[in-house]
Amino acid sequence: MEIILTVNKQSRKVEVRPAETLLDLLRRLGYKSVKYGCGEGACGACTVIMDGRPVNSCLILAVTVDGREVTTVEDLGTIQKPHLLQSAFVESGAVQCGFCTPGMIMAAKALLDRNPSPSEDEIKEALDGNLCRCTGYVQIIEAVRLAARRMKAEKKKN
Amino acid sequence: MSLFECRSPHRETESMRLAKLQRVSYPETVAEAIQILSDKKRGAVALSGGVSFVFSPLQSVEELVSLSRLPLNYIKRKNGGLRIGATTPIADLVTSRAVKNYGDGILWETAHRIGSTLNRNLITVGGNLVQPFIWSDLSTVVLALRAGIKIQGKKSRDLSAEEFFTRLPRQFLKRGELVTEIVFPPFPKNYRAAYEKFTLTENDFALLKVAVVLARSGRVCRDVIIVVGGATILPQRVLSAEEILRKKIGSQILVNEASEVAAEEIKVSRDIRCSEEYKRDLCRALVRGILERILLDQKVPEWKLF
Repeated sequence: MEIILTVNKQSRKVEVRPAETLLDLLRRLGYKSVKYGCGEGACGACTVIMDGRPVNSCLILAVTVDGREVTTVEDLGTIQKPHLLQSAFVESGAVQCGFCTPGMIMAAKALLDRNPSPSEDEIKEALDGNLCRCTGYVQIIEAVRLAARRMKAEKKKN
Repeated sequence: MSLFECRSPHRETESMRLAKLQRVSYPETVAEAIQILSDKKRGAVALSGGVSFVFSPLQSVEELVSLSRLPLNYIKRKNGGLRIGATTPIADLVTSRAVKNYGDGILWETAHRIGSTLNRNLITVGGNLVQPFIWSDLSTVVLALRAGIKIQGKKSRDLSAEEFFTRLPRQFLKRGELVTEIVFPPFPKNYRAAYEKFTLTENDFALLKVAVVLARSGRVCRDVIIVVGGATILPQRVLSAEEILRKKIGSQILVNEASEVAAEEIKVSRDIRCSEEYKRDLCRALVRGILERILLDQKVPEWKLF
């Protein structure tokens, strides 16, 4: 079946298999930041932003995303010019094995787009569907707070 | 396959799943959706959030009807009650002030504790009711709040939650019928409500949940509804426990008796996650804790429930 969706601001016409999930489709298209963790919506490693909301891409059938807009980490920054969230994660020591990081960053991005100055509780709630088995979450929450402060400062400057 | 290629267990069988699926429709009106779903030849199935469908797709489906473009994503306040569209994501209930202020916050509390933020962005109100699992949360509170369910098809009908949950919705919804709206009645000032669920971890599926809505004048319990969810797929009212409390002055003895009767009376289906006795113990603790809080005005910390 053919669908048209927008991935990272790029319109794509793709052929999808009936039972293929959005996670599988994105990886097949080369967006390897989207990780397969649990495959049942429990770990958040496959988090992408769809129409402004963070979602588990493993819980969505690809055939049902016709006309939707999907954003993955590949759209945020590059190694040379990382997004403020990405650099905050590195500086805060919020990345260890890195498997959960793309999902964490997309969930955090969706939060900061909606709420530029989140409280600690709001950050914890926004990341409640993203599991990390390495860092213990403290650095991750600190990274999101750091990014929020920097994004606010940058906005003021502009 | 390279060492780094993601290998999903679903993929092993993926080619066999949904083998008959030929198309996905995106109707923009309820009438259009009903028309497609009514057509016997098309073998179409409605898809709301689609979360449960990913795990257990109906193999015979030839067409999926995505409800995502229907104008059913809304929360409206009306005469002290609420009207919620069936395709409204659970996440929208959590961010809604109207939901937070309604019914002692019981609906908000329930929505807030469904899965994770990521799950709540996908799961819809209608989907959670029509495709119930033993751990589904919303049905317990919908029944306790005496909500109404609007169903549209060739003929429209309104059912009370009590009628709606007598059988699995999939068994009594006719071909071409859609749940379009949940109507929550006004919540009078002398009413109190509370919801508790027991999970092993914060985001885990609930083992058991209890919702209680009661009307009080002073310490006298005028009316009460006690609903237990998670013991069976469909939520159940515990009528004999309600009868013990109705029109009586609230006391610890009465609360203990009602929770004891609730634990004995509920039907418990087999659940791989815990024993029947364990669920009855949970039921006793949850009913007692909620009643102590909203009938006896005791401050019961969550840890003390168990």
